[in-house]
Amino acid sequence: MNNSGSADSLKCSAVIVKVAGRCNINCSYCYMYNRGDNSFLQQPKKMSEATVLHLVNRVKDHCRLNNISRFEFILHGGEPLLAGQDFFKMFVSHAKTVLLPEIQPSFAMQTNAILLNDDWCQTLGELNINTGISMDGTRESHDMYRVDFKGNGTYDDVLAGLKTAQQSPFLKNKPGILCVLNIDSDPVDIYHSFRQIGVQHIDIIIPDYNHDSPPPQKHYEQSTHAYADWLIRLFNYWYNEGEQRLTIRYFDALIDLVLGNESGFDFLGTAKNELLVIETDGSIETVDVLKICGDGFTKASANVSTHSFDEAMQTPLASLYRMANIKVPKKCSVCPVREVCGGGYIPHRYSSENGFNNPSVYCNDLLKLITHIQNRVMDDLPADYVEASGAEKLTYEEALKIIEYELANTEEPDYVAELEGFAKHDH
Amino acid sequence: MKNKKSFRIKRSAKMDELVNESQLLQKALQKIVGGRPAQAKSALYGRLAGYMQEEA
Repeated sequence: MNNSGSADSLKCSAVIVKVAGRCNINCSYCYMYNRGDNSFLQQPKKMSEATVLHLVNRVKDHCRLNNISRFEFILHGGEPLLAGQDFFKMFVSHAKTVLLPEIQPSFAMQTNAILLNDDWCQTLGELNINTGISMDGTRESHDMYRVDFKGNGTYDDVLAGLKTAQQSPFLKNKPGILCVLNIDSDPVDIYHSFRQIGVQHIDIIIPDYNHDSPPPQKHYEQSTHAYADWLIRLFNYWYNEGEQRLTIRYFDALIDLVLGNESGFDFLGTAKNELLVIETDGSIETVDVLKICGDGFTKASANVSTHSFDEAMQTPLASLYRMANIKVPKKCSVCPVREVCGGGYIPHRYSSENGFNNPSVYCNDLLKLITHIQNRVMDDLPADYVEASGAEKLTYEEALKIIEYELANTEEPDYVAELEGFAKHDH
Repeated sequence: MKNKKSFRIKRSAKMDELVNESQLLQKALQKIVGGRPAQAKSALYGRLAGYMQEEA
């Protein structure tokens, strides 16, 4: 690793901060608490002020070393509002005191909204914390997985919190929504449900499965790309709405990538992933969704009290995560859509047997969806522009044939041992 | 079956020039992106918070 601040230095310009280590609800799909990682039981329920001070000073050191002038804190949990308003005020105050004027901090938060009230909205507005809310569309879809500790749906409570935020005069940016794809729901119903409650910005995320814990087989009884089928139905409806569209970030990012732009996301494109997670005890870890790969999988020895960000980014898992969209398995390396899907989200590639040397468990879905979107975009571009661009339409079936041909004529990439190093017998 | 052409549009100064010179092309691109300003989105971490009204 290079700590000198050179072009290839490990720049991190955002951290996910686990300000609260527990949640007030019990979503059955939660990668933090219900997918086999019990390390949270060893974590404090709330981050301490001493840890906050260590964190913001580590951020300052890292930004100085790497010439970073803007840094984002993504306040997360568990449920971050459980940390309380005084904690939020303390956190922002320390960050500004330590970082300004040299480094401009910004703040965002992801909440289930159940605790959001007028008082909270005033605090969030005054602290300029952008707020995202987790909500899975219709009541029926949302309550299927997003339940409390008694198993009751949380839709009504979430909707009340969302409406409070939407109506708050203190929040200049109204909340966007993070929605987990529920394949048992109707995608167009989900889209309309958000429009009906006044939401403008949505992101759809694919459920966190991998090869050890794959999507239920019943989802693929009718199709080998059932998740793509769901997303394509949504995409077609959304795309045809033209300028009336709600924003769906996943689709916007895919279109941008097809058009030759870059993506800053860790589940698309070929950029390096330079994000760290700070647990409530100050542990510095890599992306939290990797917790679905096993109990304690993301644990490393780094902590903000003892380690710099640059040191923490050298751990094997952090190093691989950073290069996840570049160090892809052989199949991905020959795939024509690789520059768009980036090999798929790295937690979705994992198996105990091969570590990360697998395509995404959603490989067929990604290939189907991305070729569909590419074809649609190409159809709407003038032919002479497409010709000059060096690109051409490619169907899903053609892509499969290319992969099959290239696989037979390509060697394994030279970093396979690194991918397989995370197989359970070695990990 | 070999893949000869690119799957993505290759951005270049020449391609940008084509866009700048052609209203037809600009309209096509506006339709494709639903009227939003091109590249208006921030590069926030995808799974998480702050998916806000960046253009607001």
